[in-house]
Amino acid sequence: MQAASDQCHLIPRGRRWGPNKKQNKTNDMKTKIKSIAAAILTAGILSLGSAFAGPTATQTVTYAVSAINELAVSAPTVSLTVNSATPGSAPNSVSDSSTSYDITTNEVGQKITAAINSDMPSGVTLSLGLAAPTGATSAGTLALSTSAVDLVTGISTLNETGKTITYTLAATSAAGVVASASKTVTLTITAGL
Amino acid sequence: MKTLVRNTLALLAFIPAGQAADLVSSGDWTETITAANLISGAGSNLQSQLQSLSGVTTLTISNAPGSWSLRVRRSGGTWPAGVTLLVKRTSAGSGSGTISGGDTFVAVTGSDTEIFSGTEARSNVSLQFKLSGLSVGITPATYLSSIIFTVQ
Repeated sequence: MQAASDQCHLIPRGRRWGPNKKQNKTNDMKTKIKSIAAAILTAGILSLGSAFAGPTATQTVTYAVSAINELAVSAPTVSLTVNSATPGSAPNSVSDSSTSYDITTNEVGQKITAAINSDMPSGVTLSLGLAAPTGATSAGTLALSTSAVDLVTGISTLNETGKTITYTLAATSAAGVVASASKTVTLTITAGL
Repeated sequence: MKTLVRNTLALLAFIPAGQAADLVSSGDWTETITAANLISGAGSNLQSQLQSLSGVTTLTISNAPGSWSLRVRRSGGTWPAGVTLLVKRTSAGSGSGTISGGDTFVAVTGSDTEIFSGTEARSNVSLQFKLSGLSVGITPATYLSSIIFTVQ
């Protein structure tokens, strides 16, 4: 009985039961306005999205700077001959400072080492000295062997040319007469203080 | 209903009055600097300037209702002090619109700088980049930056 009572509605006087035309018209208008508003909002949102995404584009520029350590000498060969002596003394050593080296490095804490491809004969010494580029330190003239020696240390980010190379050849009397021979001297720029 | 109309009108105020132009870019620039870039081998410095190929990056401007200005800036990444990135336009591209300016290198900084301007649509406008200020004093490393183009 309670359910039946809930389904019963009172009809105001003067209003007949059935569809209300005025109310329906109002509802139709509201629906139309809502549809128009929704369309405008959608268009606006799309437009806003386009405005934010469209006018900008991005590319990337990348460049890598590799480690650069370049060394070059001014002449490929140097000739030295020990052929004189002061009576009573060891044979006179000879030196050559006619060549030079150029260097470029973009690294810090570099050094130049030197070695020869085979050891010198007994009693004969080949020495090498390199002038130091700016800010670096020369170790002076050092005897060469197959083991690399540090000739210049503390080289950092520089490029310089015409740094003097000095070769010195010395021989003891005990070395006797030594046949002419060639040695390959390898200068290397490498990391190390 | 009045409220609905009022709210709709308020939202309309936020809708742009005109369609902004669209911009599409293509092509990054990647370069490796080695001993081959020294001016004259050992003893010399790096070439202070390095240019990309012409057209390494292309831009296409579309949906432009009228005149526009193409601007560029650099953003983020790592960049060594003393090195400047420059860009210039190396072709006019094609399209119904016009294009002018930008045929000399312009520095790309952190602020928007106009490269060139034009009207309406232009496709495949070629760009060329240049690095200046290179030297052996730059620490070996990889440097990069985003290049942001804006048409407005």
